[in-house]
Amino acid sequence: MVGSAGEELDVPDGLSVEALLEKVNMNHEFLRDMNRILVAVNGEYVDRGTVLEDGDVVALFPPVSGG
Amino acid sequence: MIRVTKEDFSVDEVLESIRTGSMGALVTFVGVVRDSSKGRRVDRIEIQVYEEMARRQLEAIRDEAIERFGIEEVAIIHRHGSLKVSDNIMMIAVGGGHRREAFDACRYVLESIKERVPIWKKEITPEGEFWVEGEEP
Repeated sequence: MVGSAGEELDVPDGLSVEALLEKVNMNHEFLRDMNRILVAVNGEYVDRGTVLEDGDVVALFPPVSGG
Repeated sequence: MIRVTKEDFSVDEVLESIRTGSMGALVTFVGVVRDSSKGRRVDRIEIQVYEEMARRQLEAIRDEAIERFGIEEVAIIHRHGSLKVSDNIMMIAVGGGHRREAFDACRYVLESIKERVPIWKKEITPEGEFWVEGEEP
C-alpha cells in the first residue's frame, strides 16, 4: 500500500531502526511523515532505538485502520 | 478462534466456538461497511492486512483481555479484500461470567485492534480512493 512491497538493503552492523529510517527516508517520499510511521521487526513492534541484526525483516507502515 | 480471512463469517458459528456452561454473558461486536465517510459516499472498501503479524497481534490482544478482565474466552475474526456496503468487516465475541467484564473486555479488544493490528482500510468513493488513517470517531 505504500508503493513498495519490499526491498533489500545492505546496511552496516549495529544499525538502529532510527538510522535505518533515515536511510530509507531518502528513497521514499511516502515516509515524509516519519513520526507516524510504525516499525515492526520480524513481525513485532519495536522502538526506534532497536538495533538490527543480520537477516531482520523490517516493516514500515502508516497508522493502522482496522476494526 | 482467531481468524484473518477473505471469507464472510456466521455470527452464530463464532459465538458457538466460545460458548461454555460457565459463561453468563456473551458480548459480541460486529463491524460492517458503512455507506458514508466524512461526508463522502462510500461504494465499497478494500482492506489490506499484514497477515502474519496481524494474527500474532490478535492472539496477543485476546490473551491480554483474558488476563486483564478475567473473562473466559475471546474470538476475533477480521476480513480483508474487497467489501461492499453492509458487508461484515470483523467480529469480536467475548464470553465471561458476568456482563460487566465481558463488555469491558470487548471494548478493550476493539480499541486495541484499531490501535495496533496491521490492517488498513481504503474507501472507494465517487470522488476517488482514500486510505483511512488512524482512529475514527
